[in-house]
Amino acid sequence: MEKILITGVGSVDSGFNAEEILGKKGLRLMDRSTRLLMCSTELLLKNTGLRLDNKNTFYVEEQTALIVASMFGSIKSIFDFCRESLTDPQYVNPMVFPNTVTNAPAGYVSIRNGIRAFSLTLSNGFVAGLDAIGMAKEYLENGYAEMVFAGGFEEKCEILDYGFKKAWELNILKNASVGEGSVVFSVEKKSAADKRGAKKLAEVFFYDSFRLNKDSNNILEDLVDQYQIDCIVYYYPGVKQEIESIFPNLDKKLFYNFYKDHITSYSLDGVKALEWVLTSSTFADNKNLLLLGINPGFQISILGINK
Amino acid sequence: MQRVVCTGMGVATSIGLNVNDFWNNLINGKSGISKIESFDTSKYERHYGGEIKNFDPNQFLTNEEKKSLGRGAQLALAAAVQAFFQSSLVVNEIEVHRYGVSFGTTMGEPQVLVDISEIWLKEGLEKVSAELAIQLPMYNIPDAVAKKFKFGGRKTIIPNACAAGNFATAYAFDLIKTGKQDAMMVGGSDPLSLDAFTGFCRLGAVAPEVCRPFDKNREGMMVAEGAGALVLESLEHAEKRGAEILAEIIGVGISSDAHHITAPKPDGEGLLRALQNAVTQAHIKEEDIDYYCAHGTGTQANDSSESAVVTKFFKSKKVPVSSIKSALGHTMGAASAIANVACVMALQSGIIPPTTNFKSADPEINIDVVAKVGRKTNPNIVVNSALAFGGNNAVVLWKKY
Repeated sequence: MEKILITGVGSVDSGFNAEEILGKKGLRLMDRSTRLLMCSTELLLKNTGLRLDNKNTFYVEEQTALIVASMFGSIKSIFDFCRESLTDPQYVNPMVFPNTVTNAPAGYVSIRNGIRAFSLTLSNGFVAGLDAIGMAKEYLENGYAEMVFAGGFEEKCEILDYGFKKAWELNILKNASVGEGSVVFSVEKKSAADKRGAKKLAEVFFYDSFRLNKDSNNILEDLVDQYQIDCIVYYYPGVKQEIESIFPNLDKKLFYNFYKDHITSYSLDGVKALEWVLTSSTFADNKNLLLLGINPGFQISILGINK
Repeated sequence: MQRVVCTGMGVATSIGLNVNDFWNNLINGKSGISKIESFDTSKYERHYGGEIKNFDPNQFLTNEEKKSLGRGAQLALAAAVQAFFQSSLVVNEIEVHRYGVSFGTTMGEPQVLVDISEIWLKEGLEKVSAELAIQLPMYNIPDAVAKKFKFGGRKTIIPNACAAGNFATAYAFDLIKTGKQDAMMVGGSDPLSLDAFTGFCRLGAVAPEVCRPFDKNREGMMVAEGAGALVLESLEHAEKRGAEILAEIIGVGISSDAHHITAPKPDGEGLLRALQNAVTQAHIKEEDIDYYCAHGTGTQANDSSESAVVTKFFKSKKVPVSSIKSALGHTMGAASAIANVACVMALQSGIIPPTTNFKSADPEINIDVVAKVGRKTNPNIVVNSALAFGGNNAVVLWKKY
């Protein structure tokens, strides 16, 4: 089977300047979530040379897809619309209604950038970011596209902060607060990457997702042995158990806790961890890594990368 | 590569809370549209929708599930329970990772959204209880389904709006086909949404009382709620355990218009591409398809452009077309999942469901609309088509087994 490569990344954090990145045109109608995703995608295209100029991109539109992870989409827009609907429905602005659909940001990004193979939004909780990359790999292998822009976005707002605080109070989550941002990667078949002389950041050699049970230890052990894994970067926002007790047979020194240096950004955690692993000097000497995300309900997603 | 078959189905709709009632009412032209009661429509110009009036969660859910889950997850579970029991699937501890869940939705839990918003408006955000707040994430839907049946494999919620059910089904199809999963519960769920009702009303897209897809006098869509679920598994797995096979998925097609956030592309290029991708994958020709189960919302824009695609794609014959949204209204993320159930029933029974309320042909629409009651044609291959906001298109090809 052909290798699947990560060939570029674009990302923004909360201090981003959308006008600087995108220009003024069309910005007024974009809510914050859409701006986050649009900006990270724009930076990805510029970083990889896929954006030729303001109008043209260097990829085949029908062969390029988008997979993004997000908890709710434009959550602030959704709640604003709902509260207006409850108060004065006859005065609600219909132009903002499309923003209340979770896949709207992905839709706007597809329209602006001519992404026409397909567009998917995932809301799989904390593991969604890793799922976006893993599913990109699978869709490429199954022939649905030649390149996938895969990543996620999450918008910080009052309601999300409140929900996190409540989940922390209920002892479901470790962290009381949540960050925001957007990260998008270009994921493509090696043949496509070679054809355009793309820089290769990593190969995605493994992806799976399943519920943790007593056999999970064996699965992870087998992966570590088979692929000579030298680091497992993990994130687990729940409180019930520590990672060492979940995988007691593995060397503790293999594990690196993403939350040691980052606060959670919900669905973004997986792609933020991946970006960190690919760009940080902390992992300069690591070649074969697993990224491991665990939802509070113990659904685990594993991404294997070879730098 | 594995073949992918369906061994169980379930629905929760305004015309039936089980497949038998749903199907019998559908083919006999019964409508589930009624005056909306779950929220106040007095400030709106429209008052009708496809609301499920008699859903009793006690039939399908435990007390804990009723307390902790929003209506979206409850409807999903109701449909999934029926599908699971029809399939007679037995999940043993060794194989749990081989069984997954893939569901689609638009908003997940819009009723919870409204409940939170009402409290926020009247008393302040800090008065929203933790128990209510944690019902909001749409991930609760596949989570609840997986927990109910102890499925430990892939677990996904795809909020791809009105095509979500087909996207979720297509994803599961690929996982089973490539041997990554043996069986998956797939489906879609969306409760009645005040946001959707308000938005579509304000866009002028909602009909006064009746939804008439493809009709000359169609006035728009109906906002509705529902859930549909199907058990898909590999043929090998189904045969090994002696399961009754209801139908087979032979191909799927997905695409993106990249044209407009709400309007379909006028030339229908995206949907055409999805249809072509599906028939190519299935190794069939368009003339092999015996029924087109349309997205057919009842709006001028959708029905015109979709019927133009049908005419363009089916060159060799006038394939029968119907839209079950005429009976149910538009159940959003559940729509294509419920339509998949209708497609399987069409293959099983030999009857194509009708476009309820269709009266007068539109001279600008040159398709064969199955009208009022079901038509006995004994279809062998049918296609279920779904289009969504964001320009997302997904089609599923079903074949009689």
